[in-house]
Amino acid sequence: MASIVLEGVTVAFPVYGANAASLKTTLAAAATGGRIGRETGVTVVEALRDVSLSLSAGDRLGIMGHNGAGKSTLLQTLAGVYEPARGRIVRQGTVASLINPTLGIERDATGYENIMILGLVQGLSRREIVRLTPEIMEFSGLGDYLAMPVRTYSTGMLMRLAFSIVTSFRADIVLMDEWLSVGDAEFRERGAVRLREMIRSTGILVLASHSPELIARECDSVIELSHGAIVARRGVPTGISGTGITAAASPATAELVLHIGAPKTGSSAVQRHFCTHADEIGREGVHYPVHPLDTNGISSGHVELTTLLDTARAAEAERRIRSHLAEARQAGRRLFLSSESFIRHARELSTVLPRHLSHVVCIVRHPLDALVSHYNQQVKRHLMKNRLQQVARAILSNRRSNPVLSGTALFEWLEWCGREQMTVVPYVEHGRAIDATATIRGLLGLPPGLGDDPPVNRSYTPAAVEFKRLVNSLPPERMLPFDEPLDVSLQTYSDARTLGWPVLEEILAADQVAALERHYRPDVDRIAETFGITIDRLPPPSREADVTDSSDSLALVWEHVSSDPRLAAALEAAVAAAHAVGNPGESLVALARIIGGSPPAVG
Amino acid sequence: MPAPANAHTADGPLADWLAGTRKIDLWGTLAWYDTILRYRRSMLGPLWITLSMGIMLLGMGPLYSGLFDVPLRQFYPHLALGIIFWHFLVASINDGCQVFIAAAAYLKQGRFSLSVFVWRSLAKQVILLAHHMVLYLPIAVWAGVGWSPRQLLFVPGFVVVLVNLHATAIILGILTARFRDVTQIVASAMQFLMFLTPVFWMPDRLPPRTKFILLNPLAQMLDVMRLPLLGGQPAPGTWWFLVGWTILTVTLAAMLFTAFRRRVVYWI
Repeated sequence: MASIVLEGVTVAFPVYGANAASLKTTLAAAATGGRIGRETGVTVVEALRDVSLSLSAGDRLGIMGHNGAGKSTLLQTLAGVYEPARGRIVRQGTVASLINPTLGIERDATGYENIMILGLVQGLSRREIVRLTPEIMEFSGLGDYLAMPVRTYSTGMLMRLAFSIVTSFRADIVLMDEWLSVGDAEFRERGAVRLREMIRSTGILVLASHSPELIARECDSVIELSHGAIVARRGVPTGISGTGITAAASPATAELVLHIGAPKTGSSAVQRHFCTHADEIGREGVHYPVHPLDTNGISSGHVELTTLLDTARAAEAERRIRSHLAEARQAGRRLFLSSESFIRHARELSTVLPRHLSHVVCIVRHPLDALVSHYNQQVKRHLMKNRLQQVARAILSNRRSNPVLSGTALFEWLEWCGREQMTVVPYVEHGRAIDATATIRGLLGLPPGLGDDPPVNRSYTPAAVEFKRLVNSLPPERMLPFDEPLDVSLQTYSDARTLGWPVLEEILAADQVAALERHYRPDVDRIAETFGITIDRLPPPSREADVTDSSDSLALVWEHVSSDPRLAAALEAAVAAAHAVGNPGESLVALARIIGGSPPAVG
Repeated sequence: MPAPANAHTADGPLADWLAGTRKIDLWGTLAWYDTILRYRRSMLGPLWITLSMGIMLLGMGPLYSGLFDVPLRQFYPHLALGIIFWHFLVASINDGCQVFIAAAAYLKQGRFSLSVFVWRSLAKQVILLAHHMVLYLPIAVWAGVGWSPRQLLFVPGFVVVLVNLHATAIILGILTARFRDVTQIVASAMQFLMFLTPVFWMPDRLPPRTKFILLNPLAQMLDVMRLPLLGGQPAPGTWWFLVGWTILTVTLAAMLFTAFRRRVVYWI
């Protein structure tokens, strides 16, 4: 395990003038009691003064400061170059020094020979270098030039070679002076990817830079040096037990916990709970940035982050995450972010999240249960016009594959943060749906909640779903103005009934269900095996316990919706207008039949 | 950098020295490149070293045998080994002054044991010596220097010389890093010592009252390498002298290494 500890380290350079460095003056000084050799009174420059640091695996430290503030000396001291005049250094782990990668290059040697020399200088064995050479050759893109003396290279080519060598192996500690970027645009891009990979797999990164943006992006804590002393420390986690990867291995200690959904596993309830109890949860040590909720208490949590990423505003998304983290740290709290939109944004989010601090939490549902729920949600909030039968046919014909539904989206997250930093919980345990809010609270290490949260964003009743599906076939510009009041009305209607939960078998034919089951089996097995969980389906609701008011029909839905006269009028007007335009389609004709006032036949 | 897992900066001096010594991969390769890169753009390559030494031997043999009025057949092996070994001793000592200054690029970017660079310099000189020794073979055959088991005494002699040169390089390398004029002092001293050392002349030609000049360590080191190869045997006094001298240099080197090995990087 990599670690570096500096305790009160002072590094002082003697500065010998032309006279002072000569033996004659020192001898003369000794012989004459120091009078003649006064110039031997050596000036001492303290490049580092009383610097204390403690870094452990997972830490990313940025060093800032003016020219001559001691940044490079600190890096060199961390590399073991300078033994401090006072203080103590304890370092564990192999070091890759990217302080000045071209140091040690022999200009008369060929590219191949320099791979050997620089590799040895970095502490690799001959055998390791021989093994790495083909990869270095390929990455450098120098081709036949490698057989030529380095003296014939351009500066860019020289940097390419050095870069390819020093980034070719993995070390516990990486020390870097400014971000290494070399060569043309194409190489720079490949180089950035390679460097990021190297850093990602390293225990400790120490990066000295003049660029606050670079440090903000790559580091989680910063020290500022001035005249060799640390004058400011920022973002150094305080009041948190353990930092870095060790902490990120558990959602109860990770500095950033991401609840990525999945959709329809109680995320809305979690988000509403954390939003309405943000203060109280904050006192327990978890910071939850509040976000708006709609009238029904529904939201998509911190969906703004993925919206920003979707619209190519990654920098802004990153800035917000940084500022949330900073806020949390300032209060000595850990950060909790939740949105069911996260699950399908692993790739985008991974570019802006501090991986080594993050722990990813997900609740997974069996795809067949998720399908019904998902369909319900699609109709409810995403203007889905198709019947579930059509959706199922599309899935079975492989025309539509949804990594969120199948759960395979989890593997992209897994690839990013690794098994250690991920907790996946099944939605169904002991034949019952879990309480998502209590589960998440438990994972975060919070005391059990009061359990007084009213249900939120529950599924519509089948009749309400069908009603909404019919409404969804209105042209969007006509229906959007009353989409939210209609949702509120349908939710109230559905909440008043306790029909249990929709069951796939009651909607689809048995052979279609069996085919879907076979379709999803491999994905379900893979997820269950990877995360060591069992993924069961929710048993159908038992009539006695779960179903109390089973009255549900399109007529009852309309009766409830039309109890709001303005909503009813708006809906009627929209339907009439849609009919007036032309061929209304089967759904609108059905809708018109339900809301009465049979529409004028279109000729 | 070459920090093995669990590298602590509080390593003891002996462990530090051993760590560098064990890095044969590193110093061996660097020494090899030091040798071949010097002749990269020449036609004969490293053979130039041999060639120039060969010409020197060719010219000096007849000249000095005439000057001293000694039969060439008897004198030539003595002269050839004298020049070859002297060259080796002087080059090792002069190069020893620069060991750490020349390694500044490495020392400034990571934690290296200083012994790596001392071995690098020494290895380079041994490679050169091997080149020169090729020239001695035809001379030995021509002069009829036969094989005798006594020649095996060269091995302990050479080891003692290597230990000495290693210790000397540590001492001079550290001193030169701190006081730059040591290089000049050493270079001048070596030139002077050449005359006090029986490189060209035969020590038995020395008048008895001046025999004491043979008590210079370089003359003794030369003796301990040259005599066995010529079929002779160094006097016990030579061995005792060198043992004493080795204890002296090794002790001094150990003291300087212990006190200043982590300071050198501040001076270069």
